[in-house]
Amino acid sequence: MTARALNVLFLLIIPFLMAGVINRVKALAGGRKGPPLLQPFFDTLKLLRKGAVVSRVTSWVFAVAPALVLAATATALLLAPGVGRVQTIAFDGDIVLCLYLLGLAKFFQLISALDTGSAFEGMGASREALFSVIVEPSLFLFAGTLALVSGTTSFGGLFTLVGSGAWPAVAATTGTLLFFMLMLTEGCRIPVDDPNTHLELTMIHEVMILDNSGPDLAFLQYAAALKMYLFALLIAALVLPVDIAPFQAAVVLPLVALLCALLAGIVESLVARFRISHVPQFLFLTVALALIALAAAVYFRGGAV
Amino acid sequence: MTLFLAGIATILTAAVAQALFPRRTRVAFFAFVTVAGLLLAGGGALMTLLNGTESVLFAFPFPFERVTLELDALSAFFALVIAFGGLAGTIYGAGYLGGYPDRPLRGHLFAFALFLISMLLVVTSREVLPFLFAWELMSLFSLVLVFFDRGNDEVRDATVNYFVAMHVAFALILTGFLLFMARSGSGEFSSFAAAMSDPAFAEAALLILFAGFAIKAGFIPFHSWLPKAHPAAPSHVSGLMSGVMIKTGIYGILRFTLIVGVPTTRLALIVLAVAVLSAVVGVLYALAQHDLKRLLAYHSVENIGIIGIGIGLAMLGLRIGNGPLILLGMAGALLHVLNHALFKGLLFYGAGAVYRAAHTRDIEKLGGLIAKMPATAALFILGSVAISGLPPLNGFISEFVLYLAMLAGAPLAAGAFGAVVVLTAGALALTGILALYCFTKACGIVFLGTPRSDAADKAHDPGGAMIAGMTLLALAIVAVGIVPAPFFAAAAKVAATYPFPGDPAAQAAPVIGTLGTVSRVLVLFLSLFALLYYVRSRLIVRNGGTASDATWGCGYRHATARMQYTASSYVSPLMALAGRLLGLRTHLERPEGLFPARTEFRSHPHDLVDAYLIAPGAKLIRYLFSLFRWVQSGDMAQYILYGVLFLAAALIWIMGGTR
Repeated sequence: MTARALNVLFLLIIPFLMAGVINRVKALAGGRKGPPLLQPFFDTLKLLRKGAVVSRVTSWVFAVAPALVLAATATALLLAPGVGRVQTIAFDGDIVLCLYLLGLAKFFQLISALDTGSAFEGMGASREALFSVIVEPSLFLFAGTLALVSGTTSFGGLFTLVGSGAWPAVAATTGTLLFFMLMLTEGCRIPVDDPNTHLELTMIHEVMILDNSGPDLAFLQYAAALKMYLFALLIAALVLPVDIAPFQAAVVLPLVALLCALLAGIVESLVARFRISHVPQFLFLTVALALIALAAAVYFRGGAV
Repeated sequence: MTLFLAGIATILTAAVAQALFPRRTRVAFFAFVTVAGLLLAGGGALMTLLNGTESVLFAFPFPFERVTLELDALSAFFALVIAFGGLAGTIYGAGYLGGYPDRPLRGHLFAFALFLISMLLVVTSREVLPFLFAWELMSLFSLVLVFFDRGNDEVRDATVNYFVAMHVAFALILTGFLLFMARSGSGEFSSFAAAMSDPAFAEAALLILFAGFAIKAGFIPFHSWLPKAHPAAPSHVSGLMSGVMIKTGIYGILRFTLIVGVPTTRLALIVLAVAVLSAVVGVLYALAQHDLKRLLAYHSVENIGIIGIGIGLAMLGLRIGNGPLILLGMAGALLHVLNHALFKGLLFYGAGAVYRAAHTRDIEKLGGLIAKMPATAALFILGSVAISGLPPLNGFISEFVLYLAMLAGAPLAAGAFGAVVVLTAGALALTGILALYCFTKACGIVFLGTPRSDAADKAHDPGGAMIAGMTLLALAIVAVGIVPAPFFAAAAKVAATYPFPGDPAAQAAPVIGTLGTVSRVLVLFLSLFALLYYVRSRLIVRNGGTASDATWGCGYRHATARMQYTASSYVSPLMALAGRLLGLRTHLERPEGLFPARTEFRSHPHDLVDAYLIAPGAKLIRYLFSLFRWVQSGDMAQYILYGVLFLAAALIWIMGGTR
């Protein structure tokens, strides 16, 4: 019960902190002092106190999308492994519902961008859709691989790495790399996307939400931060020891999430954004990682064909 | 069974009696009686599904000898899908046909009713001859229905193509049956199992049957007719063909797996490979289309692939004795049969409403329809979410059950089979996300943004009957999505009739529990959404309300409809990666000079199976026949010579016989 309460509490704080940490690291690397760590949280509060400017072209799709995106993302996070791999809600195959809720959020994010009739937003939507096409199979391949070895179908069991030989190490390595790359992709960070550019043509996620304002924008930004936190949670579930004590987990989990944000900030400070046409090559790496994990799983699992 | 037969008799009455009514009331009368008949037939099937198998034997003189109609769990499930799909199609069709007030429609309505009846007979026949008879009736009457818009060349070509494809399928199925009959000595399906003692023979016969049924179902590379015939048919017929009729191919595949029992590994892997290919390539082709109904037709290929994945997994499960793969693979496939009938019907009917209103199926000429036809737009978006397999709608439920089959089945499968199952899960995920890509395109370009043509600007929602037919399907989509457990239980009951290791009911029970949890999480999600939407709306009102302005154009305020992103540009990043694989042809005129006047980009989707398999095949056949063309010279003297030669040959033969 405590673990579940902590899960929900963390959902409300850590995503903002992660965004704050990334910004602070980038500022420090650029020789600036940077905004307070909780600045994204204050920004959200400020947006909630504003009205909205809505394009004449848009319909109800544009109006319902932000609430729907946030609701779907938040529900997905409730299914993810939290403190001590305890999920707030768990059942067989919860990983499928979690990923498909994110798919629903994506669907409405994309059609809400198309609802504005803007070529910029159409362009952003089209790129976001393409990146998901490459990323999605790698997620399911990796989930299937974990199921193959663990014999379970729920997040908590899947991410408890036990097995013979070097399997846990291989799974943790490939999985961490995979989820870190996905965190950068789905969180719209460099080298896939640049959230801070001043040119709409080069943006992907930010250009899709160009026309959103006020509480809608706050919802969408929070949902984006939640998605980054989801991947940090998955990394934590892979790397933390199987037999970690609950109170230790409660301390270590936020640290792992913030470490992920720190690394994302360092990557962002050191690496330039890829040319759009090169991003798919980068993303195909995630598929390769999932296939390596699958090959390792079959190898360490043994047994005859 | 009595109810079921009464239903068929009622539809038959409607088929004949409508011709006696004046044109003004003909369609309404027909729709009313047919709906009643379908309700009866569906009710009968439902009772069978709840209570158990029923059969009735008719003694017929020549040519059938005997005709057994039987409703077992499998037949009842498909009969229910046909009845419900037919119900929505009939109601929608009554509205759609209102657009043709000067056509008598006697023949069309007759063919429509007989088409429904023949489908019901296909899934209940238990002997070769009656089955083939019903099968051929189904093909021929659907052919009449496709050939509705007679003046149109495209429709004529599609009809001829469909005619040929269906008869190639018929020949293959007939060959398969004859092989079985040669061993069993009987035309009853139940006797076929005994003929299967020779596994190599059984595999060959089953492969031939699979190819025949796969043409009907539209698996790649047997799909060539499908994306031509479905767009050519009027929309109430396209919805029925795509949602319901092609499932009889699936029924055929399931029925003969059931008779034969455990398939060989090779057969299971072939079915799985063909299914994965159909799912992934089908949706990729759909992405490249600009014609709304053609896009939907390629999605039928994709969804047939998803159903096939479930069947392939179940066949693999039967081979290696893997409970979850059989039960959940089969149940997932059956649920998807139902689900696809619901959302594909809805989407085709939505596309029909768009076509009626804007007189074009070209996505690039539409746009902004959500303001002109709000009901159609909302229903189409609902259908799109469902077909993309997203929660909280029905498409998610069948895909969830399939994933559960794979996640639970993989660890129980030895060695490389486990990897095969995991790779299949990856393929299903790829299919799902590509469908999402494609339907954000369809919804976004057709219904959102601003109108790209005058026709789109003047569109309006269709009348009551069409909306009612679509709403019926939408309600069913939501029902299956939010309360999936009873629908899964029904599908699991059908799956349990397969040779099963262990107790099927005991294995289905935890999944029913899981689906209960899923529906509670979905209700939680919907409540959270409602709460957030309420909060957001209140906040905006409190903070000073909504100001409306032009869409942000980087400071440019005079954006026109033509500056919007188009369907081709939306999918162009993917086509840059996969276009060559798909045979996409592009044509680009670059801007030139200081004052470029004309630039142009066009892309033409192009089916590789058509180009490299069907077209050369047809050419070869034409060439072979052309070798004999000299036989028909048109010269009278030559024909007289034939007669003389024949008489001489006959004379010689008779003399040879008497000697």
